[in-house]
Amino acid sequence: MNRSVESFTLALLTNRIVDIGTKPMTAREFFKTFGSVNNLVGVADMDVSQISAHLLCTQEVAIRVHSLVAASRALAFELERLEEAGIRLLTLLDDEFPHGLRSRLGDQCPATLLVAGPVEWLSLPNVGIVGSRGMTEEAANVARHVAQTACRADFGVSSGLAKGVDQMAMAAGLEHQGRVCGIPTEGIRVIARRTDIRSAVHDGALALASPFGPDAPFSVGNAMARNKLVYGSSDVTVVVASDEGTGGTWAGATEALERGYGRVAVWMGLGAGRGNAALVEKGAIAITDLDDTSWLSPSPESQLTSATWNFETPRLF
Amino acid sequence: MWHVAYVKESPDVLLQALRTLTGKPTADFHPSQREAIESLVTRRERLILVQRTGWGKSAVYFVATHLLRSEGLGATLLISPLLSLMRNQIDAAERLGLRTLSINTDSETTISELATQIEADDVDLIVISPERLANPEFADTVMPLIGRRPGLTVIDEVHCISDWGHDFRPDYQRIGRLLNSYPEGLPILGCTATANARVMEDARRQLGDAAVVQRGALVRNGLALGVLKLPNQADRLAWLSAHIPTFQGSGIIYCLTTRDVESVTKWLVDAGLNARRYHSRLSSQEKQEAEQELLNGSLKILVATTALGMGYDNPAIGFVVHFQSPGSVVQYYQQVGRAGRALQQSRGVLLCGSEDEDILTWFIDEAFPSELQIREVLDVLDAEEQPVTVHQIGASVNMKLGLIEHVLNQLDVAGVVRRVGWQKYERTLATWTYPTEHVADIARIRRSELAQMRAYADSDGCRMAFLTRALDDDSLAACGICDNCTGTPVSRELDPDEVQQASQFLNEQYGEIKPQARDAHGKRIPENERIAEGRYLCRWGDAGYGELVRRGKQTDGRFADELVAALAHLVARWNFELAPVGVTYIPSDRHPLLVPDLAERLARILGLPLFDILEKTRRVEPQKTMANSAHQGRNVEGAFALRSSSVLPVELGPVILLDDIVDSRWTLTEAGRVLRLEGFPTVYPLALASTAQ
Repeated sequence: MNRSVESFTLALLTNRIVDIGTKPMTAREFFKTFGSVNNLVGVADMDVSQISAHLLCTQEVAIRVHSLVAASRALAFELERLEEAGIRLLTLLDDEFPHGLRSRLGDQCPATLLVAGPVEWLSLPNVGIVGSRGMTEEAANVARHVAQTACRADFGVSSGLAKGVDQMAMAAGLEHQGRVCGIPTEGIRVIARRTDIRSAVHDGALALASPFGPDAPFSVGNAMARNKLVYGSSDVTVVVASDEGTGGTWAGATEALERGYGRVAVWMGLGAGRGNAALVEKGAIAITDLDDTSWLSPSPESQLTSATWNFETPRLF
Repeated sequence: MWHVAYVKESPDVLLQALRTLTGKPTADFHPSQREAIESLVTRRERLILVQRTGWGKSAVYFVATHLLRSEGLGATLLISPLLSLMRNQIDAAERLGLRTLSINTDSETTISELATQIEADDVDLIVISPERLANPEFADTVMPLIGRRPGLTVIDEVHCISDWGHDFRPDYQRIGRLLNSYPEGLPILGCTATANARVMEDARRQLGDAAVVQRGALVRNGLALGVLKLPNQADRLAWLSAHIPTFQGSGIIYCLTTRDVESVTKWLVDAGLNARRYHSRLSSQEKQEAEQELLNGSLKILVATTALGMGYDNPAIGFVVHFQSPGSVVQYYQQVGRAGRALQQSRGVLLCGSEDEDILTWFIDEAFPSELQIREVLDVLDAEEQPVTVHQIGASVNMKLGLIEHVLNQLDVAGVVRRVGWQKYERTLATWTYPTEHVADIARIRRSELAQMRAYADSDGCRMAFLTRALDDDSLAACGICDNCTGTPVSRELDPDEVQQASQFLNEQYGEIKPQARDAHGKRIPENERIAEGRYLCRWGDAGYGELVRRGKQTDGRFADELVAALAHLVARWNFELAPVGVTYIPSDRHPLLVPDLAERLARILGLPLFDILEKTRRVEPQKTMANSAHQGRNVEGAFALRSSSVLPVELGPVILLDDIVDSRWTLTEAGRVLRLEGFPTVYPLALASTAQ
């Protein structure tokens, strides 16, 4: 793909593909160090002292930047390998980078993503569907129903691709020919081993996005980072069932509510978890009737609280 | 280790570097070598060098490596397609004091050692094969290190990058894509001795549009070319043994197939000539020895397939004879061009045979797997959630393992499957469509190349001018020394007795039947249930006996007396450890009389009793419809038993087990097992013809 020099440099600084022994930067660290994307220009050709003077940073940080941008050939090589296998890398500077993630997650947005399939779907209106791995029959029905409702209203479905509610949401989305966006906890090459995932991508029915290394195994830490992206890629995220005060679903939902990562709706009928009511108390929209689809459209107030950060004019942290 | 201060303005630094490297105070460049080094070192360009073999391409990248290293660039990555070439390169580089490491199947250096050396910046030149780029461990461990501190990239035999060319290697496509992703300002050098305009343009496109091409004249002085059409193989064998001894120095005889290499070598050795074989199925030690012997002149004739190919660096080859015609002028020039690089006079003789066209057309048709074959392999991979081996795929797909590997390699390069770990593959997220048009285009081009090769053989003009013109070098009018220029055709003088002997020799080329050591499930067959090593008379469909077998089976329903006599002759010459005391055979439902009749006639000539003791317990599909070993093994498993009415001799001795056709050896293995379990101490398998590849 055609990539600007700045985007490639940003990829060098923040990617999790090439392990050169120097820790890649988070988006937050990047903006803290660089201030503006304009400062990426020319960095690849500077020595350590020039970087230090250019970025007004310590020698230590300059060494880290220098070492990261030096791996250009290694990254180019890896990107070629990934691209021929159907996986692309997008940075915040690429037009195709999911818009919703940028605007909803602000400085919590990852700087690079590995994507496969019709990635533009992540920038269209989506409904996130989340819930626990172990689920009841009722919760399964709710997940399926919400996915169907979303597809009928021409929303996409955003899912974490785990077992339980996630899996059900994806399957229902595919069944109703909706746009399904999958954001797995595992690395993209790991999740691609699943036949259902692979064939959906081959059929052009599933978009995948992952902020992790391509071969990253499942980890709890990654699960939290992943939850954020499900919320960030969705206009509204429906919590089907959550424990209270514990578990990934609860942690993800409360974080989304506190930080304003898009709207959060919570199922309040049969199949709901213990934490569902508590989430409503924390400000989530309650869904009591599956046939009532008013939660799909934003109320005027909620629009004011989203979009906390404008990427075009990055601020110093 | 380097003490050369490089100043861009001073061209003599180049010369100084050359002299330091070679240790020769008078060493000098050709002007075009200097130009090439400046392009790489001063201008950091992407350069394609088209120069004849022996022009001195390696001096360019050795000196460039030296200079670029002293300017702080990383190690040079040299991608070179063949082991023989790699060894030469490494030796030459080390003589010049470049710290060189190579990773290949034979090398001692491990990937982690290489990684350590790169990290410590203790290596100047890394030599790898293109396949290495696809190796997961190498790609994950070494490439990132090279990427951190890049240097010059050299692609030897760069014409292999173009799939329009005859030497296309799928792994080279990976290089093309890799180079495209390189930032500007990293020097890249592609070298080749042979490429026509179309291939060159394709290579240039893959190296980047800014790539510069430097090309020199391809004419090889002192190489006297000639063509002799001898359709019959026996004539050609007799010609070789009669004429090669009169040729000056050592040389190479090229054949199209491994089998031809084997029989030509044997014929020459039997005729008392100093000859050795060379093909891809030999151990690398044997190949290396052969190369070495040819290099130091202790070997007169090396009989080789194209495995001895590009870049084999031996300036003192006196002659190159082709036992069969190659598929294109590019290939022919490449091979015949090995002759006489440092000699005043050398010879290149093309012998054309009647079988050439069939073999070459087969190569063209089999070059790319069919859509159906690829689809079958993909269907297996699509259903898997874990990486699988070739053997696992072979168990569910009725295809030869070699073909499955071929398919996987194509798909791997296309990114549709991915190799993980040791020879395991998994399906990627990339979608796949069969490149129908591309495959057809390439087949069309190959056919026109074949036609051009025929035109070379038929040409009455200067041979050298024909070759160089075909490679887009129009500088030569006439060489003055080829058969057409001198008006002296290649001598076709043949001794009728030798031709007769050669014909007999070809008919006596029996093959060996190696017993299966494992059953269809991969379980070891106990020694006391195995058959012994056996023999077959000929290859199915080959001229001579092969044709007679085909006629006997497909047309006449009875095998000719000549075949029975030949079989008896084969048995008579067989040095059995324990002589057989009887003949038995494989029963067949489809041809119930064919093999019993053959067995009976053979037994009669040999004066041995015929044991009519085996029967089929169930119907089996024809083995020829089973494409790989696992399928064939299971197809006949338990399909044979001893006939209940059989009367066995009191004392069981060694027995010949006869069948008409052998392919996978499973039928003989299974039936032989029944006999062994019954108490026969040895079972010698024997067949008329082999259909195995």
